[in-house]
Amino acid sequence: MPDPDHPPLFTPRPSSQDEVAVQAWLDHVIIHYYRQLYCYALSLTGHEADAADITQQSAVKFSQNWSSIREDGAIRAWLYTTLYREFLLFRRRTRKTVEFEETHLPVELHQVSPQELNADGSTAMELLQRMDEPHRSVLSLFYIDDLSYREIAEVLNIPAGTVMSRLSRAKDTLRTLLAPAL
Amino acid sequence: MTEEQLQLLRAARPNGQDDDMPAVAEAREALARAGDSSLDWLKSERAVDLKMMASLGQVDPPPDLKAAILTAMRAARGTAPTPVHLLEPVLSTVRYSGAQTPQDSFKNVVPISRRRWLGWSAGAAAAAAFGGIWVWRRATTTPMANLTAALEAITAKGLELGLMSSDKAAIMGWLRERRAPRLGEFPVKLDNLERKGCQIYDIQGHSVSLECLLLPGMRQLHLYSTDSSGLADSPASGVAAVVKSYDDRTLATWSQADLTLWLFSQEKPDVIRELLG
Repeated sequence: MPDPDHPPLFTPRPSSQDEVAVQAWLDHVIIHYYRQLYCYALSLTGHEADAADITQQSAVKFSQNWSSIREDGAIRAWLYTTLYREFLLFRRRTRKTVEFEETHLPVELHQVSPQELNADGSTAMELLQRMDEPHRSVLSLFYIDDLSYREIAEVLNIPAGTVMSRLSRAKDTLRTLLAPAL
Repeated sequence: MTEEQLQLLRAARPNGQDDDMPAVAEAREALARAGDSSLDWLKSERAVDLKMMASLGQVDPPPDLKAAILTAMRAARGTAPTPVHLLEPVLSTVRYSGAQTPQDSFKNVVPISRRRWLGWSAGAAAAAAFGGIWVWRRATTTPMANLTAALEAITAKGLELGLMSSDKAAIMGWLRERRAPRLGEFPVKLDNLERKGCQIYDIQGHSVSLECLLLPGMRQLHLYSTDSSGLADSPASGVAAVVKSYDDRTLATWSQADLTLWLFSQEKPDVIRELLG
């Protein structure tokens, strides 16, 4: 039975003249993606309310600009790109707070075992939080919605080579954090 | 095997989706030539990746986020959902007026309001500076549905109270100090409820007070009040509250003295009617 909270994509994009169908389609797309978008926002902000705000704002932008996305296959990347931009704006507003948190969350706080990961999503989220933002943003996209490194490069507007090197370094950090059981 | 190939293998998705890419396949062959321990390394690497993916897949968003997003999307597009009409101009001017710190003023605000509000303010200020026309946005005849929509969105999104207190007097004092509208005399049964705190919002130039009340079992009621004089179609004072139920929510609206009131809850309509007498 299909999960009503995670409907399969894609229902074909309706004609922009049919307002009711457009609204239903927009709802459908966002219901499909909002969980992953929220998860990514949470990994970036580390704060539930801020993550919810950024997710909502990204969805609103999608509802206003959907017709400019030429292909349905580009919607996912568009959503993540928009969300990341919203995060950057958010970070600019709250820069002092973010910097304070980053400088007080050293990577070597404590280690966890991989066996702990499946028990609670918060443990994995906590591991991401211990990384600096450039590595966190890349690794989160890699894990949260199974994006390829090329898609990540497109979302973050950085070269694919940079994504690969950041992923590698982020995974090194992750290995350090998970060291006891590896 | 080169450093670049190593990075490529780590960047390839763990479920094998990218393994057919020529560069990835070549890197895998190079890894295989390096020996079994290298292949074990990749296997272990991918096992951790899959565990991280599975684990992050269990992160749940707040339960009301989906509804809040869908409501905000409709508001942004100007389409009217049932049961309330959400209009962008309403949401775009919702902000806290009871903020305790500069940072508070950016919290718990319907997100689409932030930059647009600042943009309008800056635009209006610029117009004034250049001898243009200053437009005072307070609408003396705001349709009640506009405020209802904004309050619905605020309530659905989740609230941060400006004052957390169960002390009725403290809440009244806090609102009075900020010259916020406040109900002098509650319906008796409503007045007997425990308090949780209060907040003040500025919505399209209307100062709106929120008092959060608690039924047994920490069931929350959100009572909003504003001056009726700014509304085009506020209910006549003294008339019984209109109680409507939709989805899992109930909204009661009425006027009392010079105030228009909204009571949002997840209670059955009968419970609300009973409370309002």
